Amino acid sequence: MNDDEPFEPAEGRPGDGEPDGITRRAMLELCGASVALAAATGCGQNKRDKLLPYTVNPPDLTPGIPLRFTTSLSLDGYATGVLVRVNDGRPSKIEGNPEHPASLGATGAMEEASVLGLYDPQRPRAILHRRAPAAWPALTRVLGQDRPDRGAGLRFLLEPTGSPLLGALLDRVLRRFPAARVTFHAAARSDSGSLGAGLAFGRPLQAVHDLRKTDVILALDADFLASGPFHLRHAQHFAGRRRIAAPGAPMSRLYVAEAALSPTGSLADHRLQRRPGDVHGVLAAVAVELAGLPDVALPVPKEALLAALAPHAAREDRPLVGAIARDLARHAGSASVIVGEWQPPETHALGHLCNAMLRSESTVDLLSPTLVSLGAQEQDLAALAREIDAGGVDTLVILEGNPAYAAPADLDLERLITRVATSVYLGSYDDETAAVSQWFIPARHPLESWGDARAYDGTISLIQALIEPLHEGSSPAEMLAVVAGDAHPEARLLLRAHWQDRLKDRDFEAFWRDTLKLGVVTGSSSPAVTAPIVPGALLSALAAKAPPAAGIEVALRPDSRVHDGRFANNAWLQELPRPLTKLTWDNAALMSPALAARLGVTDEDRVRLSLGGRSVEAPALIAPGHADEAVTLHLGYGRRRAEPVARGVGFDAYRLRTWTARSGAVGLEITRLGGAKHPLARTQMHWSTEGRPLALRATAAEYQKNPDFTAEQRGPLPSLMPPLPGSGAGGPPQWAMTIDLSICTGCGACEQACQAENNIFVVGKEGILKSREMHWLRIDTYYEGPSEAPRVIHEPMLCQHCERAPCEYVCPVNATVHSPDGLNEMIYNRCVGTRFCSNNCPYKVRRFNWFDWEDHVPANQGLVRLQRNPEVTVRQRGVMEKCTFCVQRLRATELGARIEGNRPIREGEVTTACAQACPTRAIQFDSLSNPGSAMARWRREPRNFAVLHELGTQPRVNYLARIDNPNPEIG
Amino acid sequence: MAALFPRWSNTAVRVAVIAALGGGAAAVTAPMIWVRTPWVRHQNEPIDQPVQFDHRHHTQDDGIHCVYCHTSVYKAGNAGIPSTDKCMGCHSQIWPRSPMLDPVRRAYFSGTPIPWNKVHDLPDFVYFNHAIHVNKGVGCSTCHGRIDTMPQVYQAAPLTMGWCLNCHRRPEAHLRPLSEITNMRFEPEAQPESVRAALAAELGVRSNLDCSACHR
Repeated sequence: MNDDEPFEPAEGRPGDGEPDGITRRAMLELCGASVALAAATGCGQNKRDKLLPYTVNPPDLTPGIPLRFTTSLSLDGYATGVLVRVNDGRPSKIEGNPEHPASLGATGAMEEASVLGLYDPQRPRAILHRRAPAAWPALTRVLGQDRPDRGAGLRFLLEPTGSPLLGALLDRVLRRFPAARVTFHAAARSDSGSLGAGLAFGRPLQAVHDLRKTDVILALDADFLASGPFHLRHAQHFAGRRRIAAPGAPMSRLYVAEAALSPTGSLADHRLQRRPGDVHGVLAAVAVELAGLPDVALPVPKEALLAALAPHAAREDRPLVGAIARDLARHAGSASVIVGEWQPPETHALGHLCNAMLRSESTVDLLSPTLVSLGAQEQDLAALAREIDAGGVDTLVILEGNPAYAAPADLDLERLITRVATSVYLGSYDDETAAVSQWFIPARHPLESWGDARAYDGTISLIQALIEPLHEGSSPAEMLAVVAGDAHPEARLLLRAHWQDRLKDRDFEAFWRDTLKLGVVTGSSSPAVTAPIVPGALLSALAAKAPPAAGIEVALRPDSRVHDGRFANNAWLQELPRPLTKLTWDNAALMSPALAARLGVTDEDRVRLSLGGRSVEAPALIAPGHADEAVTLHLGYGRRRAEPVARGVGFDAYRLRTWTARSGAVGLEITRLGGAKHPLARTQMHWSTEGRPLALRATAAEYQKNPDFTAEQRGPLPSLMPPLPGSGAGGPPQWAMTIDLSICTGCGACEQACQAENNIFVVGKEGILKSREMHWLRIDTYYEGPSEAPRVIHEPMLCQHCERAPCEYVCPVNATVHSPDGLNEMIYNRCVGTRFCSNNCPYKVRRFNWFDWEDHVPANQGLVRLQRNPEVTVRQRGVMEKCTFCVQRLRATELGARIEGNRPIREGEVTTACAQACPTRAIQFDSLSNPGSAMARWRREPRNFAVLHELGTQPRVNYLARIDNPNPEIG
Repeated sequence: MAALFPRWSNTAVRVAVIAALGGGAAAVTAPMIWVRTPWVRHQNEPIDQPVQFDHRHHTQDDGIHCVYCHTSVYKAGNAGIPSTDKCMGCHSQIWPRSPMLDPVRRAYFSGTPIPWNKVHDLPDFVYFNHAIHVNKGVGCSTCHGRIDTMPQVYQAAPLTMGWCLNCHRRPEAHLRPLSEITNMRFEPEAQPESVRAALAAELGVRSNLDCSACHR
C-alpha cells in the first residue's frame, strides 16, 4: 500500500469493520438501558389525577350523569332527528330520536359517525384570506357592503336545504340584492324525482312512500332501505310488513331491478340484474302488462301508452314481468313502485303512472317540495358555470359542498372559481375548494350549530348546538345574514328571531322549550296533495325516450360511507366495511364475474376506465350479482387536496362525471393495466357457507310446510359442564339477543354504533389487510347459488355470549368468565394476551390489541379522545376484547333499578348500541326473564336457531332463519 | 503443606452461601411484602391540596352535612366535588378577605376550576359507583374513614381489590341504617349480627362478585 494514500476504511463490506445494523454490544447496552428505564418508570411517578369541579355548576347537570339532547343532522337538505348523548359537556354518541319521522329511533352509519367529525383534529381553525389568517370583520366588510349593481354579479352556491331559517335569510338577501342568483347543488342528489313528477303531474311533487301498508314493492334501482332521505323510516316500516311472525303468516314481497347489489337488493325475493339504463325497460314492460290487465284503471290512453313503451318493453322477458305485474295488480292498493334517485325523469314519471294504476293513494303520499325553492332567482350549476366563464360573476359565495372537487368534471369549477374576483367559501375542511377560493371560513359542525331543518315529509326540527364551537367558524345562516346586512349575526339569535316572527301570537318560549325537548315542531309535516296524472306531457316524454344504447354502462353513485366525499376524513366511516363488498379504505370498479372474465380482470387488478375522453385508474373488484355490461363506481374518494385520513384513499370517480350524465353513461371503455395489483382491504375473504348450517333460510312456502326446519340447530344438548349459575327463576336477569336474518339489510349501522359506544379503535388500511380490525360486531355476508345471480344472506356476528363458552375454558388467568346474568365477561386488567380464547372461539369474534392503537394509528389521536365513552375502558396493547352486550349500559340500568327499591328491570328498559341503531329493528335485546319482550317472543318462533349449535356452546345470541317470499308464478 | 485457605474461610463460605440464598429469597419476597404495605398505596399520607381545606372545621365547627357539598353521592357514580360557587356562597360573606381563600376567589372570578388532587384514586379500569353504595347502607366512613377528623384528607382504607372483595363477599358486616350513612361516628360492626342481617334483607343487599360489576 502506498503510504501517501489516505487510509479509507472499507464501508459496509460483510465481516469487515462495523456492520450497518446494530452491533451486539450496542444491542446489550440498549437492553440494559431499556430494563433500567422500564424499572425507573415503576417508581417515583406519583402524579396524582386532578379533580376539576365546575366554577359554577350548569343547571340540570350532574357531573358523571350523561344528558341527552335533541338535534337534527341534515344530508343533502333532508334532516334526520337524533338524540345526542352528552357526557359532562362532550357530545359522545348519536342515537335516533323516536319522535322524528326520519329516524323513528334508529340511526344510520353516517349519523352515528358524525360525532367523530366534531372532534376531527384536522378541522380548520381560522379564517383565511388568500391563504393567510384573516379576521371576521374584514370578511363582513367585503360581504356586507352595498352593491350598486343590485347584486347582478353576486352568486350563491349552496347545498339544497329545507331550512325555514335559511329560506327566510335567502329572501332577505334577495330583497337587498334582487339581481343576485342562487344555485342549490348537491353532488349526491339528482333532480330526476321532481322532474319526473313534473312530467307526471305537471308540478314537481315529492313522493313519500308509506311502507306500513305496502305488501308488494317493485324497487327500480332504488336502495330505499339503506340510502336516500327517509331510508331509516322505510327500513323500519318495510321490516314491519316483511317479518313473518309465524309459519303461514303474511309477509311482503320485494322485487328489485338494479345493477350492483345493494342492501335493498340483498333482501329481494326476485332480483333482476339490469344496467341502470335498462331499468326503465323493466318498468315499461311491467307497465305494459299492467295496462293489459282487467280491473286496472288506466289514467292515460292505452294505445298511446303501449306505443310509447313498446321499444323499451320489448327487451324484457314477458312471463317474468307479467308475473310481477299480476302480483302488483292483485295487491292494488297495497303495492307500490319505487324508482331510484339516479333513474331518469321519464322512469320516475312512469313510476308515478304505475302507482296510479295500482291505486296507491294510501301507500304513496304526494307532497309539495320541502326544499327551499326560489323560482326565477334560482339557477342550476351549469348556468352558474357558464356565467362565471362569461365573466359575469364578481362575487361567488359558496356555502359548503366542496364544489371544486364534487362538481361534474366538465364544468371545471375548480378553474372557474379562480376567475371570480371575490370568492368566499364556507367549508368543513381546508379542501380543494378552499385552495382556489380567496376567502375560506371554517364551517361549524352540526353539533355546534344552531338552525332548523326539514325532513323529507316536511317535518320541521331544530338544530341545537350541544357544545361551544371548538374552533373559529361560521354557519350558512350567519354568512347569509352578513350578506343581508347584519354586522354580527349569531345563528342562535337569528333562529330565535325567525321563529318568534313566525309564531306571532303563540307563546314563543314555550314553543322553543317544547320543540327543543321533543326534537320536532309538532304537526309541521307537509299535507299530502291529490294530483291526477296529466297524460299529455307524460306520454310525449315516454315516447321521446330513446332505448338504451349497447355497451358498458358506468353507474356513478354516492358511497354508502363517505357519501359525496364529505365524510372522507372520518376514519370510522373509512374503516366501516361497505355493505356486500366489505371493502374498507378504498373504492373500486365493481363489475360482474362475467364481465371481469371477458376483460381478463381479477380482483385488485388495476384498470383504466375511459368515458367520453376522460379516464381514471381504478382497482377492479368482482361483485357477485352485478349486472353484466355495467360497472359501478362510488364517488367521494381520490380527493386531490385531502385531509390526512382521506389522503391517498381510492380514486376520484367524479372525473368521469359530466353535468348531463351525472348518474353515469353508456360507452365506458375498460383497459386492464399491467403492473402491481392494488391491494384492497376487505374484512371478509370467504363468501360461502360451504353448505354448513350457519345462516339458514327457507321460502315462506317451505316454512309453512315444514316449520321446524331449523330443529337440528336448536334445543338442549347433553353437556358434562355444570348448569349456569343464577339461571333459575327469581335470579338476576338473563341477557340475550335475537337477530332476525329476514330483515337484516347488512347496512352496517349496528357496527358503527358499537364502535361509537365502546371506544373501538381504528386500525387503518394496513391493519385491515392483516385482519386486525377491532370491530366487535361484523356482518357476515354469504352468497348462495351462481355467482352471476347469487342469493344473499347477511348475518350480524358478535360475541354469542355462549352459556358454555369455549373461550372461558382455555383462559389461563380467568380473564374471561361468566357472570350470573349470562354475560361472557372480558376482564381487561386480568388479560395477559395469550390469545388462547380467540383460538378457541368458534365464532371468531374476539379482537386482539396488537398495538396501542392510539399510538399506532394517528386517526385515534388528538381531539378524537374527547368522543370516548367514559363508561368503557380504553383497552391497551396485549389485551383481548370483544362484545360485552354493552355491559356498561346493563350495569347502569341495574344500579338504577336497585336504587329504586330493587325493582326488576323493566322490559325494553335497556338495550345495546347495535339494537338501538338498527334501522329495521332486526336486532332485539332483552332479558329472558321478560317473556313478553320481542327478543323472547322471537325466540319462540320455530325458525329460531343457533349458529354452530352442534358444538354445544349454547349461545345467548339466537338467529331467526331468513325467510324469502318468492312469487310462485316465477320459477 | 500449609492449608491453601485459612480456617475462617469455611465460615466465610457458609456466610456467603446463606447470604446468597437469603438474598435471593429476599429479592423475591421483599417486593411482595412491599406491595402489600400501605406505603405503596400512599395510604394514610395526607395529600396537599391547592386550598387548605379542613374537613374538621367545616363538618364539626360549622356542622355542614356531607351531602351539602358532595351533592351527587346519592344519584351518580361520583360523589361530586362542589363547584367553586358553592364555596363562595358562604365565603363571599365569611372570611371574604382571607388569604387562605385566595385560590378559591381566583378560581371563581377567572372561571378556572380549582385543580384538587385526587385522594382516592382508583385505576381507570375500575368503575366505582357511590350511589349504589350509599343507597344500600354503606356509609361514608366505611371507606373514607373519619374524614371529619382529618385536617388534610388522606386515604384511610387500602382501596385494593382484595379489600373491596372482602366486603363484596359479606356485605352484611358493613351495613348501617340509611339514616346513619353520613354519621361518621357510627360503627356498623358494633351492631348485633341480627340487626345487620335484617338490614341486608330490608335493603336487598347481596354479595356481588361479578367482574363486570366494577370492570368494563
